[in-house]
Amino acid sequence: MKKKWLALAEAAAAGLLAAAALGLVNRAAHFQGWGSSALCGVLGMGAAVAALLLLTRRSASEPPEAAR
Amino acid sequence: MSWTILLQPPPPPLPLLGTTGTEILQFGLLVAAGVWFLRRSGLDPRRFVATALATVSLFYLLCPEDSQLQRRAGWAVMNGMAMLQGGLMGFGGTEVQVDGVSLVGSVRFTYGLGCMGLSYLAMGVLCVLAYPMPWGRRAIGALVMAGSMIWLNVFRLIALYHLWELGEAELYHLFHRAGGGFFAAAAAAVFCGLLAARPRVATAPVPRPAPERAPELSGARA
Repeated sequence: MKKKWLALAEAAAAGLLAAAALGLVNRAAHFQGWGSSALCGVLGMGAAVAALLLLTRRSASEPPEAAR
Repeated sequence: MSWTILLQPPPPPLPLLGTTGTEILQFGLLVAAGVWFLRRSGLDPRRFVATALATVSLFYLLCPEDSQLQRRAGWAVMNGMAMLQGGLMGFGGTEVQVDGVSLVGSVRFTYGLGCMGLSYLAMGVLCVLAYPMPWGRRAIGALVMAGSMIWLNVFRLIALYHLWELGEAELYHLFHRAGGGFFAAAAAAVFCGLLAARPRVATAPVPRPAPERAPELSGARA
C-alpha cells in the first residue's frame, strides 16, 4: 500500500516538473529581453533535468517488478 | 509621425501557450499517467518523459498559435468542425446554416482561432506517440486520441452555442473559460484508457492428448 502511494507521488511529481519545464521553456521563447529569456530557459531546463533525476534515483534504488 | 509613437515599445507578441494555463495542466496529467503506467509495467519512464517534453516543446516553438501553419490548418479544421456541428445540431432538431467558420441560426456563432483546441490535440497525440509500445498501437492510439478530442470538442461547441442562444452570457463565459480544463481532463482520461487497454493475446488451438489405454488385466471379465 505504501509503495503504491509512493509510486503515485512520484508520477505526480514527475508530471508537475515536466509541466513546469514545458511552461518555462516556452515562456523563455516568448520574452523579448535576454535576461528574462535566459532565466526562464535555465529554470525550465533545470525542471526537466530534475524530473529525469527523480525518475533515475528510484530506478537505481529499486529494481523493476519484472526483474524480481 | 511624432517621436512619441516611434519611441513607444512594440506590443508584446502573442503567447506561445494558451493564456489559461490548462495546456500545462494537460501535459502534467499526461506525463504523470505515462510514468504511473510505465512503473506498473516495470519499465523505465525516463525516455518517455524526455521524448514527450522534447516533441511538445518543439511543436510549440515551431508551430505556435499565431503561426501561418496553425492559421491555415485552423481555418480548414474550423470549417469542417462547423459542418459537423451543424449536421449534428440539424439531426437533433436545431436548424442552422454553415457560413465558413460561422453557424447561423437564431444567433450567429463564429469560431475563434483557439476554438479547435489544436494545441491540446497535438499534445495528446505526441504523448501517445512518445509512449513506448509497438508502433501499430501508437498509431491506433493517436487516431483514437484525435477522434475522441474532436468529438468532445463538438459537444462543447454545441453547449456553447445553446448558452449563447439562451442569452446566458455569464454561464457562457464561465463554460468557455473552463473549456481548457475540460479538454485536459478528457485527454488524460483517454490516455489512461489507451494505456490500460491490454492488447489481445493470440490463441492457437492446442492438440488434445490422446487418451491413455487402460492396462488390460489378464483374465478379467466384465
